[in-house]
Amino acid sequence: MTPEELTAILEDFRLRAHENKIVLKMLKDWTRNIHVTATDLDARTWTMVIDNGRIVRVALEAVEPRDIHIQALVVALAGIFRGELNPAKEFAKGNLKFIGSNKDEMRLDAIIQYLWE
Amino acid sequence: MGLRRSLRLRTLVAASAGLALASSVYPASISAAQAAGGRLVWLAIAVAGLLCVMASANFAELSSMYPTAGGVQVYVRQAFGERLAVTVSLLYVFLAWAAGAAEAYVFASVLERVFAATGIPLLSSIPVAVWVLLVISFFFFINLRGVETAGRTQDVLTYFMFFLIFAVSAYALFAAATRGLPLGGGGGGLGTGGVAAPSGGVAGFVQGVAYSIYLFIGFEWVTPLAEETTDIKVLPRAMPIAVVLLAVTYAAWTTIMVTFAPVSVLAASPTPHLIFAEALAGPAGLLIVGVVSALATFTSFNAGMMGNSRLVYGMAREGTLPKALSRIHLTYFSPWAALTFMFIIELVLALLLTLTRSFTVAILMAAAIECVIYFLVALVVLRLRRTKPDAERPYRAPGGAVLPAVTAGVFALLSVAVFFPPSPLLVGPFFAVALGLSYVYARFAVPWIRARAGKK
Repeated sequence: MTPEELTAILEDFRLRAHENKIVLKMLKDWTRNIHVTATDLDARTWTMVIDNGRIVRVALEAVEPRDIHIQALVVALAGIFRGELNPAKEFAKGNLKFIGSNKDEMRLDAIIQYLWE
Repeated sequence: MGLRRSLRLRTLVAASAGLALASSVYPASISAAQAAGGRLVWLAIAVAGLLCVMASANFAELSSMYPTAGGVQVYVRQAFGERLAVTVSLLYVFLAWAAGAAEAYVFASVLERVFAATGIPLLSSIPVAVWVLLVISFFFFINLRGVETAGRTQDVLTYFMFFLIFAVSAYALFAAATRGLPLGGGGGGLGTGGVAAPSGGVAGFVQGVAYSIYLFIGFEWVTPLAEETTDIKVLPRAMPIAVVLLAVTYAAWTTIMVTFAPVSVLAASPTPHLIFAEALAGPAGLLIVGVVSALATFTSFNAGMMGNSRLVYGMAREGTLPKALSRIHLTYFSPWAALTFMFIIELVLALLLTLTRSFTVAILMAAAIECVIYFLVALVVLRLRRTKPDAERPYRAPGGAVLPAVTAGVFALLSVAVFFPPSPLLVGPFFAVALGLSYVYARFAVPWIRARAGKK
């Protein structure tokens, strides 16, 4: 998988999130920079910039300050953001690393859960 | 609400010791004194501490191999597959229920006794069962609201409690010397003094060590923070430091408890620390130790309920528990379904303990589960060294295969020792039910839940 393909997947995730009323409610008042690092693509990092309840852009760079950091193989990241892989399962297998506050972890997991499941 | 970039040794030590600084530890330490003898209880606690230091080396090796917040279930899955990993996770859930119910009951008893002593109208006449309901409901609601003790506050509270316990112990040692009380002799000022608790010989001492494992409960719960440390070698230092601090603290505290009151009197009460405090310093002592107990329960119960509700939530999310338990509160982003599940079970268990006063059953069952988990983790280290010899291990437990092999053997022995008298008869059957249900669930229910989810 190429970096461009993962960018497209993250961009699609952004658009779908804005079409889902429950997810929009969950995003409300949230401002975070979420770093997404593909450990097998030279640790290349994307940033989902969330500003006041909207995912304003997906940047193919590390936008500071970093609030949340997700690390996995590119295939796992693609699967999770496409709704094909369960992040909790990948986490339990040790294939996914999440660094951030507990509350942010729950909120992001809830967004993925409500968007795809 | 920023990212925790790098956790320091101080914070990791506090996190490792946090769960064990609880109110239910005091009756557990008296059970150890009953088995090992009042004069030898300090040694039983020291030996248990040493064994936990050895177990911590196993956890440290595995967390350096897999620095993930998944913790023990990831290690067990890598070595023995999913079925045993699910079994271990469920054992942790049973451990949380047993320890949580015991903690709620002990703290409710503390509140009842402290308020009864103050004579405040209404508050002084509230029965333990109502305090149990209030305590568990309080922690349920603050967890539901997603209230967390911030890292620095947790640090301050933990070290403040260590300081308070040390300070009271030092004062009590001084008081015992001036009153001419023999250390560990039991009974200063309580009528039946001067007689040390009888020792149960070698078997009793072994049981004292097994019971003392509860005094270090959850020291390994710091391993999920491995990925948040900048230097992977900080964690292997943090766990033994926390265990040694706990060992010194509880060895001193238990010895002075059994110096000021007979073990038989202390063992009959869920609040032996209050009996000791009153014998030491009257109502003022009662109040000070009551505050220590409240702080201890606040930090340990809150962290325990939060950690375990997230464990249940995680298992529901990955399809090993019913999906209904993975519901999240859309305003507070707390796992409300898992929290409610834990709340109901802990409330029922704590009320049962209140009715039967069998709090030692819950405490010793938790000790037995911890012993089994430490035994299993030692086996995981041995197996992974054989099956994945070339895997990167930034930290390796010292002593080759000897340390994990000895740890496995000793904890297997201790887990069995918990079931023999003077342990209550029900400890063994309850433990067997917990282990059996965990395994049967992992063996039969998980595949069924997965198949059902697959069909949908």
